[in-house]
Amino acid sequence: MVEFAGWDSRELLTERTVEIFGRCANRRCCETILDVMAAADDVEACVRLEYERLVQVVAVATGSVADAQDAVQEAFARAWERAVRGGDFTHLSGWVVTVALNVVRGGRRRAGIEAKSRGHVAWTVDQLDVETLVDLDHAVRTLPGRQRDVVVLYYLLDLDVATVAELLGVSPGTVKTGLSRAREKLAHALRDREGDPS
Amino acid sequence: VTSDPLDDRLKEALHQLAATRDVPLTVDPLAAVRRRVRVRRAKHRAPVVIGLAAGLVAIVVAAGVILRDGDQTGRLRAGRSHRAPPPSIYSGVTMLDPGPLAPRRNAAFTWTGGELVIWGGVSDQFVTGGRRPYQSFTDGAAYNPETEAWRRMPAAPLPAGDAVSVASATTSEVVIARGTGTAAWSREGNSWRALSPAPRPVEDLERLSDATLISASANAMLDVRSGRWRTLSEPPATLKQTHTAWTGRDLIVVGQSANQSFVALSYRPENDSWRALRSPTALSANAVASGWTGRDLVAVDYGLHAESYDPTTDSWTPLPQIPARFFEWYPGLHAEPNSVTAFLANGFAVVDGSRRWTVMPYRLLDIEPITFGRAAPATAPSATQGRFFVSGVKHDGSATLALVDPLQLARSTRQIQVGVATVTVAEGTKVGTWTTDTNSNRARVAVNVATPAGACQIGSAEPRAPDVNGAPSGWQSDPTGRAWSTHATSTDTVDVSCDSAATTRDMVGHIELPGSAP
Repeated sequence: MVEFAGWDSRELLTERTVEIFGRCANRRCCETILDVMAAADDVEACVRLEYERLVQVVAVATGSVADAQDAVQEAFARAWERAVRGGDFTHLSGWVVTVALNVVRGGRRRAGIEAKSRGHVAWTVDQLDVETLVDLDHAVRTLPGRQRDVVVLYYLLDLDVATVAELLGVSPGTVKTGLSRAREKLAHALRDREGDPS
Repeated sequence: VTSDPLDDRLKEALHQLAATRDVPLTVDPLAAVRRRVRVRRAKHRAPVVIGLAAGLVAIVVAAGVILRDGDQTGRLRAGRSHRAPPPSIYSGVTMLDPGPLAPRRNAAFTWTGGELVIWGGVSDQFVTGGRRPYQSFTDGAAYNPETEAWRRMPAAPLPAGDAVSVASATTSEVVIARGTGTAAWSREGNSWRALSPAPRPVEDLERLSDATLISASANAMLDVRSGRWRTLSEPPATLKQTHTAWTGRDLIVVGQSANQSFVALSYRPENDSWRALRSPTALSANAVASGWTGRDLVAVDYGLHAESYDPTTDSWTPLPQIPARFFEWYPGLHAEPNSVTAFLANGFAVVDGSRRWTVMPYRLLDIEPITFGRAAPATAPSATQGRFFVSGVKHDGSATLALVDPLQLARSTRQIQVGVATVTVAEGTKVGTWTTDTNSNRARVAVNVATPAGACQIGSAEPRAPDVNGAPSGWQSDPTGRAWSTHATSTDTVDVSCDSAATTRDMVGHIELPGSAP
């Protein structure tokens, strides 16, 4: 006997939502392959669950929380439209961060403002000493744009090289090269303060 | 790049750096995003508003012309009704690069798990409408939706000819057969391996495992590694136009027997045995199309009857008849676990969990309607359950490829196909019950819609035999102005009745008839 009740789209939607958030109920909820059936709802859910973290991630690259908020909101709006049109995302958080970084860059290019000249950070943690974080902050923000994107996606979103390459539209080799160069520069910020010669 | 202590420290330090960014949540982020979506939509809508204004002017001018011609009885010439602009993107449809291959039918069209593979097929009058000479293809290509890139396959050790090409994918290869010719294409090496010829022409090919494929038409199993076919025991009936489904244990075969009745059989490979299955109650054996949902085999016939077969209970369950025009061309069918999509002549129909069909026009898929002499679109599953690829032919004769989410499309569509009429409904319209009313003389399909302006029923009727019953005419209204009808074609009528004359008039203005196609 065919159980057509199991075909009900609303039930499926609910099941998918449960499946998605059951699988990633923590802050990584959006790091899942999204289905177009629930995509708009998923984008909405991810705004609620991921907004703060993604703003923080983008703010590391931009130095400005206000700019990051603006850019992440804009990126989520674009994601929403894309979802409604039937587009899908292999990694929504990565997609949003990539678009947000481009939004910030585009806005600053239009305004003629250099990224490294912006931003003021109020330091609130002391696990690493403030000087180290300031140096690291400076090091991140003085990286060339593409290297900065790679660092954000690889280290802060914990994406693998292949996914970063896909999101940035470059080859995995380019990502590895950018990562290697960025790593070298960022390592200096840590070594200088921590006295680690490695 | 490998993880090492420095990497770990960097990651930790960067996460700490991110944590220093205090995000003020004075603004509800969801509300902010929604606001931006509205702003973006308004920006996109601006050109449409200008277009609508221009359209309004055109309608006023056209109305003036009609009145000037003395047509004051609510008559409009068939073929002059409003035509919605052909949309490029619908919710639930993603148009894809159709690739380097010429449009074709009867091609092998399959999903490997990472790529869509198309090989072989023919271009004949069913594809070109006689616009180009016949051609049998021996070329193929593979499309990767992740990279949105096509790659061509090298020349295959397979014959040209009229025979249908079929394919089945294993983990590393795609086995393709045409007639009795069989070959395996390596996905990684992009190279071919010739296999032994099948004992009979292969018209269906199911994957039992990575090592074994089976064909009911060839009545044989293929050992993929050795490339050799082994003949099965003889089935209790010889079937034509076979359709198959692999349940995981049995091969279900449906088809037409020698006395043209619908026959269903089951083959169990583990003991090389056949058994007859129950027959459906309403399905004829004429032009059957079928699909496997993962637990049921759903089949439709030429008369648009539909039934589903549950192998666990050996029982057939009728589905509502598809509310579309009769005298359809051979239907096509694609089944997903949560939907079934039937490809008909004037449109395609989607049934969902509520057992309710929604019939939509082919233009939503950028495909030309399948009039007599046209081939149904080809379909293949995609990486995402519930969505599938559709390949067809556009109005200009070129190939088209789309990725379709049928349930989302059925839920969100603003265009429906009622018989021969393509209806564009206003935003906010609810599409209600579809009905099929058949008597000895004619068949009529109808749908109830609730528009913001009022409720309507739109119907389209045709004679039971394809004879001529009148010449196309303009719309005629009854004395109340609430019921309008027209001879849309020499055989089909279309009728609209609404709560008020104004609503009917507006609805008629949003109906396209076959003569109004560009």
